[in-house]
Formats: sequence, structure tokens, C-alpha cells
Amino acid sequence: MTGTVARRPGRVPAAVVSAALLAAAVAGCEKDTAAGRNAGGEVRYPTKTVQLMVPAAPGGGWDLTARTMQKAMTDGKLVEQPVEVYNVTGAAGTVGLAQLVSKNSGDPHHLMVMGLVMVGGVVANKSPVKLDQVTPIATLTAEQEVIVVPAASKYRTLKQLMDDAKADPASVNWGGGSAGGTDQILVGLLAKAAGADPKAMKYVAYSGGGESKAALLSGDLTAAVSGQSEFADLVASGKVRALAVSGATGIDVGGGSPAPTIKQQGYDVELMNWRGVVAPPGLDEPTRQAVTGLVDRLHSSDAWRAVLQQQGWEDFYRSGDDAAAYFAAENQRITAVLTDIGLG
Amino acid sequence: MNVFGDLLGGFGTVLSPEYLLYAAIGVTLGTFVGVLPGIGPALTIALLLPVTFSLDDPIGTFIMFAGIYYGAMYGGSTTSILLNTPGESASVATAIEGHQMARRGRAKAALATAAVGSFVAGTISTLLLSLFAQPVARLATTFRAADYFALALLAMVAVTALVGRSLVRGLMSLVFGLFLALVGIDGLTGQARFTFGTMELLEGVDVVVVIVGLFAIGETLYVAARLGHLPEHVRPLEPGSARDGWMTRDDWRRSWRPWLRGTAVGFPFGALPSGGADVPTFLSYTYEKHRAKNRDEFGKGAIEGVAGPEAANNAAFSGVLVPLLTLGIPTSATAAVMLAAFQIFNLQPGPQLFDNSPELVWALIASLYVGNVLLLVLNLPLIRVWVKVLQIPRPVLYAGILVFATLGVYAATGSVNQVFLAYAIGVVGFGMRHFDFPIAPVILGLILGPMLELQFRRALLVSNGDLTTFVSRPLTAGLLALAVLALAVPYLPRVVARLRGRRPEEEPRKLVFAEDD
Amino acid sequence: MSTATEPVRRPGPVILGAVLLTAGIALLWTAIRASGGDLGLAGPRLAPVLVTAAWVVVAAAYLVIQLRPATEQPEPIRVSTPAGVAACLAGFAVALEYAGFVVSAAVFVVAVARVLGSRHLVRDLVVAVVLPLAVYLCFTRLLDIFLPAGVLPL
Repeated sequence: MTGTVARRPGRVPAAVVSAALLAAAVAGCEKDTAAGRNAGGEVRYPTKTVQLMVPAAPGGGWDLTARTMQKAMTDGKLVEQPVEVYNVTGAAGTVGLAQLVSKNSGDPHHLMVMGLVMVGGVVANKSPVKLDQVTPIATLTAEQEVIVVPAASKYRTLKQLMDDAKADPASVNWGGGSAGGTDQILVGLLAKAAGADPKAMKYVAYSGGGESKAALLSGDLTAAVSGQSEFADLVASGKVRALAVSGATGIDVGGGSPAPTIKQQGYDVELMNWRGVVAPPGLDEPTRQAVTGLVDRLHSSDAWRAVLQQQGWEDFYRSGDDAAAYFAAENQRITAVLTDIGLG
Repeated sequence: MNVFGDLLGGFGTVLSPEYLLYAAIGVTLGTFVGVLPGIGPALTIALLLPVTFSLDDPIGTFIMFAGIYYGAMYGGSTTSILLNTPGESASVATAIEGHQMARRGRAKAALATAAVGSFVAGTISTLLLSLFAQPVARLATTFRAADYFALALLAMVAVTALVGRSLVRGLMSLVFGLFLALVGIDGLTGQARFTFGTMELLEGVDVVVVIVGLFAIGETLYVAARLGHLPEHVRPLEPGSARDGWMTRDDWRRSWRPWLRGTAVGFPFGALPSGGADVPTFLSYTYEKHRAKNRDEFGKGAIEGVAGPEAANNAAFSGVLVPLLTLGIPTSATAAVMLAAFQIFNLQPGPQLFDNSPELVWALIASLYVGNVLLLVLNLPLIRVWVKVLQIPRPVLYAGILVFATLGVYAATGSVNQVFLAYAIGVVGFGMRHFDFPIAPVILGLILGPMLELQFRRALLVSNGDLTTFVSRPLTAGLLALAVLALAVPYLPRVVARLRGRRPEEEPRKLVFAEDD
Repeated sequence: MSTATEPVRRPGPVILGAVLLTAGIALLWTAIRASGGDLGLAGPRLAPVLVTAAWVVVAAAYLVIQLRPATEQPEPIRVSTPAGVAACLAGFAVALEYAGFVVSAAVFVVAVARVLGSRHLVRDLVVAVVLPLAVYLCFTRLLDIFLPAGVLPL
């Protein structure tokens, strides 16, 4: 009876075997070296328990990412050492960020999951610790955003909605997650692209996706912005209509056929809610490469592929210098739009 | 298939040895972690959620989860009653009378009425969930921001009885709670308030940290201050009682109505997309206190004051599942964690869930019934064991409470600063006890304050600042009228007397500043 | 509640009232300053001003009552014991991440039990070793919950 419902991946024998072979090969090269470097100057990593920090409460997207990484790494035998996940809650992850910088500096065995939300959080919360203080390792996954309206709404295209929002900002009640989060960032970017004043957009913040769902259904909101999967069931049941998704290519968000992208509807906006990994500051170059190497191996493991597919996460892999460049670019863009909204 | 056919199918799934084992493990795990003082249901579930990650099968996960939840909730009530250390806001009302009962040697009766009440409420409300989930959900989504504001106002007015004997002290506690709720980032604009430039306070003061501080830590400090006045052990049994402290016939007679009334208030409140379980427990407590013939007994250990809130708490959980399963809207911390569990299996709860994964949904609902039964079976015998906790020598007992309280806060937040915050609030709790300020209003302010403020501002925001939004819809206007009525009722006799030209018996000023002790 | 027989007036409640009032005024001032004069109904600055203003009013009322004669007095207590417990707690929290959960909790249990009047050192020691170790192992090994290991090679 368990076979009828989606099973979790990661225990697929083939994946385990191949990952184990890979791990064995890696371990073989590094055998008999003392902790630290081997004869070739290569860094042996990890040499003790890897501590993976989730800078948010258990149960959220970052937590899920971290626990999936933990499972894929240990099940796939990518590490001989255990991987531990711990949560540090607070202020869009900026409390965890501050802790990583102040307490774990120079320690490659502490890694932190983070993402676009933290980029916004650093700006909106005026965090004294900035993202450029940590060592970028990789971006892993991304989810698109979706813009929905109630089924009875008069808006059938994004353009109709944006035209009204531009002409009379007070007539459109936007709703989504916390202030300064991904959802509000998208509204700001959209307004900017449509030639409207981002600051004039009436954005009502709700905690979590659930509350904004209720507000959209009760009639408080004109349009809601959320992660791609959040409204899938309501879209499928015909209670709400998806106007647009925020990625590069349209995806199905419950309607049965791919929803159009924002770009396709004439606004030059692309926004992915990406998640990645960073390490504490103060790592030397070989160590940084060793940590990046581990995440590279994780990314190419079968267990990780299976998870991506099952969760519907887009593969959004950039590592090393690519990741550093991407972090910097996102930081600049998000800072600009949050300043426009008046949160910077 | 009709509801009963579906439900039978669900039972067919759940009643396999493997799943029954999961349910039993869940209930046991939940009870044993939940019973640790200072670690309440919310913490327990957050801490145990990763355990369920290790299962590969969604049905098994949810069955275990339901077990953990029921176990955690009952474990939390146990420590609230025995040690006055509730771990979440929904157990605070239980602690008020429950702990007084324990101090009078009625611990077993209090635990029994909580267990049976939870079972009754859990079973009835699960039945309501099975039958009426869809229509209730449709009704609940008609609530708009203005309605939530009116509802919160009504709840606030209705539970003023918790303010206690001295109005000034009660109000001071309430204001303190309202203040704590303001600390942190404003939910609507992202502006920092009362954070005094620190990062730690940006996230606000977590209700769980406040409760652990005010109760577990504050109580311990207060006990420490009065060591000389206290007997060496708290006696778990009524002195000289021939019975061994179980519920008497009289207890049953006094408990069953509060159980049903608690269920009646808990389920609908839980089903609202901004409801939750804490407000109905306070409403139930207040109502039982008002109704009781022996009102003097309240505050000294009235069994109604345990039976009602416990039932409300448990019924609210099934209520919370209504918007969660039918619309994917989590309305409590627990439901949010549960939604996360759905997402682990890439399931998005919503209108399609009943159609797309009927097996899962009905198995989950069936597992609620099973969890309820298992809980009763496990806990009635365990009551004997729990009351033994009170025979632990006081120094060791309170040292243990402090260790667990610290552990809970640290494990949940991962931050020593939060531990210090809990300690600081504990010192405040000690001071409040010493100077006879009531504790419950702090929690009330902390829960209802944000609801009042955010919903008021959201209502104004969506209506473009039009204040008539609070009277333009019948639902809002009706709720507000009820609130005004509830506020006015106690004063009506005096107003009438004055209108007739007679002096009221006592001056209102006297009432406001009365120190009736 | 008040069982004190002698009508001696302790200054505690009056001091408390004064402290509450001062704190309230300071917080109200903070709230007003943060608002910058912008107290819109739908804005984030009105509620802090309202709540802290209520604080000031209630604290003032409390102080006035306490200044009146013949109000009830709290029972006399020994402040040294709770202060000792608080000191142990502070030490526990500071040591937690450095010494690890097991060691810091063990020392804490023995210390707090002493402060709370325990005279059974052996019993306390047994509890202090067994309880934290058992909790640590259960939490980290069975439930996969992170606790600082600290100095012990666990």
C-alpha cells in the first residue's frame, strides 16, 4: 500500500552503489594522510563532523535543503564523517549569518545554507554583517515565483493587472510573504519594469504562504505572489488563476499547461528564489576548493538528482567563482530594488 | 465513495501492524519529550520533525506525526499540571487550575480529566473534521482582515476575567505582554521596533521563550526564594484520602460538560485561517469560571478549569487540520511544521488533496482516531508514574527543570542569547510572582496584541484607509457589536441604577483600584 | 495572601512602581522618537506609542496605590537563594557552548542543588552525571538534535 504514494528517493540501490564507488575512489586517494593536507598539498576534507547551519526554524525551505543535503551526502557515502544539521533562527537568516562570521571564522567544517531571502534580509534588516564577508561556495537550487489572482478576478493577463497597478496603485492589493522577502522584491521589480513607482505599490505582508492564500480567497487581495508550488492545488482546482511565473521558461504551476513567464508578457524581469551554500570567512584557497569539491560531488551524485526531480526544484548550480560573481550581482540588484521600495 | 467508506478505507490502511507501531512510537516519543519541563508541544514537534524525515513513506510519517503531536500535547499538559511549567501558550490555561489541583493533592484527578477530556474532544472533533471539512473551510475563508480584528477584540474582551483580582496588576501584566509582542520587525513594513540596535531582537521575542522564562524559570526562582516556607515534597495525593486520588463520581459530573463546551469552542476557532489553539483555551477557561456555581474554587483548583481548556486545546488541533488539508493554510506553529512535512513528500495540501491522495488523507484522519485511543491507553496507566515526579527531592527536581528549560530553548533556537533572554524573562516572572502580578495576561497580550494590530492595519491597508470597513460587512459589525456588548454587560446594572437616580453601591473608581484581598 | 502581621511598610512595591513608571516613560520616549511624528493609523509607529502610553498610565496608577497606606504587602523572602540560582544559570549558559552540554549541565546540577539546600552530595553527583549524559545521548544519537559536545570526546 505504500507503493501508491510517491516514495522518497535516496535509497535507490543504484544510487547508493555508484555513490559509494565514487566515495571509495576518493577515499582511496586520500588514505593514510594525517588530518589536513596530504603530500601533494591537497586539502583533505572533511576531517571531522560537518556542521550544516540552517539560519531559520526547522521546516522551512532552507531546512529542507540542508536536511536533503545531509541525507544525500551520508546515503551517497560522499563523506566518511557524519553531517549534522542545526538551526539558528532569526531575522531572514541574518542572525545565523552573524554567528557564522563571528564564531566559525576559518573553520571549513561549518557550512551555512542561505539564499535570495538572506540577500534581501541583509538589506532590509540593515544587518551589520554583510554577505560579502562569507566565503561563497555554491548555489544549488531555485524555484520560480508565481503571480495569481482569484478565479473571479477581471484580470486575465499580467499586462491588465500591471496597467491598473500603474494607473491607480491604490486599486491593486498585492499580497505575499514577509516584508522585504522574495515576493515583495518581485512586486518591486515588476513595478519598476512597468514604469510604475515601486514605492507606491500596495503590498500587504503575511507570515508564510498560508495566510496570503486565505486573504486572496476572502477577497482582501487583488493578486498574490508566492513560490511556484504554493498555489498549485488551488490553481488546479480552478479557485485561482496563475497570470505569470518569474523564471526564464514557463512552467506548469497547476493549470496543466506551462504558465507564461513575465518576460513573455513584455516586462524585463526574471527572479529565481535560489538557495545555496556558504562557508565562514578566512578560508585559504586550497581549503575553499576542497569545500567546493565536496559540494560539486554532492551536486553530481545520483541521490541529489533524484531529490531535485522529486521536489520539483530547478537545478541552479553555480560553484566557486561563478557563485561568487552571482552573489555579488544579486546583491546589487536586490539592494537597488529594496531601496526603491523604501526598505533599503 | 461516501465519507464513511473513505474513512473505513483509512482505518484499513492504518490498522496494519506496521502503522500501529509507528503510531505507538510517535505517541511514546511525543509524550516523553513533551513531558520534559520547559519543552512544550511546539518545541517537541519542531525537535522531532527531523525524526519523521527519516521515514520513506508519507502515510507512516503522518501517522507517526499525529502520534507525536497528541503525545507532545498531553505530555505538555502533564508538566503544566504537576510543575506549573507549561511549554506553550495553549497549556497556560490548563496550568492555572491544574497546578492548584496538584498542590492540593488532586494531581491524579487533574491528569485524568485532562486525558479523558483530550480523548473526548479529540474524537468528537476528528469526527467533525471527517464530516464537515469542506463546508467549514469554505466558511472560514470568508473571514477578512477586518473580521479577524473584530474577532481578536471580542476574544480580548471576553477573557478579561484572566486579569485577576487586581485590575491594575492585571493590566500591567497585559501591557507587558503587548509590549513584548511589539519587539522585533513589524510584520507589515519590515521596520524594526524596540530592538535597541541588536540583531537578536529583530526576530522578536518568541512566545515559547517567554513561556519557558515566565513559568519554568520564574517558578523555580520563586520556589528558591521561599524554600523555608515550603514542605519538603509536594504531596501528589490528597492527605488522608482513602481513594488514591483518581476522578471521583463528582469529578466526572463536573467534567463532562466542560469537555463538550471546550470542544465546541476549540474546533471552530482552530478552523479559522488565523485562529490557532491558544485563544480558545483561554475562552473556555473564562467561560467555565463564569458559569461555575462554585466560583470561589477557581484559582484554588477547580476541575472544570482543567477539563475545559484541555478539551479546547485538543479540539482545536482537528480544527487546525481543516484549513490545512482543504486549503493548504497552516494556522498554528504545529500546522506549519506539518505543512513542511507534506512538502518533504512534495505534496501540496489543498482542494485537490482529497481527490488526488485520498488514501493519504483518510489514513491521516484515521490515524487521529487511533492516536487518540493509543494516547488514552498509554497515559492513564502512566499517570501513576508522572505523579511520582512530585516525590523527587526538590533541589534535584528544580535543577532538572532548569536543565530541560535551557536545553529546550537552546535546541530550538540554537542561540545562547535566546537562553539568556529566557533567563531574563524568568527573573521578571519571579518578580511578578513575588509582587502578585498575574502571569496569564502576559501571554494573552503576546498572542492577541499582534493579531489586533496587524489585522487592523491590514484591513485599513486593503480598504485604502477607509474606517467604515469595520462596519460595512455584517460579519465584522456583528463581531464588534458583540465585543462592545461583552464589555458593557458587567457595568449595565450600575448604569441602570444611576439612570434611576440611585447612587451605585460602590464607586467605579473603587472598583478600578480595588485591592480585594 | 498577605500574612505579614506587623504593619511595617517594606519599600519593595513602591520601588517597583517607580521602576515601572521610569521604564514606561523611557519606552514611550523611544516610541515617540522612532515615530518621527508619523503616527498613521495603518503605519507601524502608532501601536508602540499606544502600548507604552498605557504602560505609563497603569504604572502610575500602581505607584499611587502603593503609596497609599494599608495596602497588602508581599511575603518576606530570601533574595539570596534565587540570586544564587540566577548566578548558576548565567554560568551554565556561558559554559554551554565552550564546555559542552554534558559538562556544563553536570556542574550546574550540583551547584544549583547545593543552592537549593541539598545536603546529599553523592545523590546530586549521580544525578549530575547520569541525567545530562543520558539526555545528550538520547537527543544527539536517537533524535538527531544538535547539542554542543564541547570538551568531551563524545
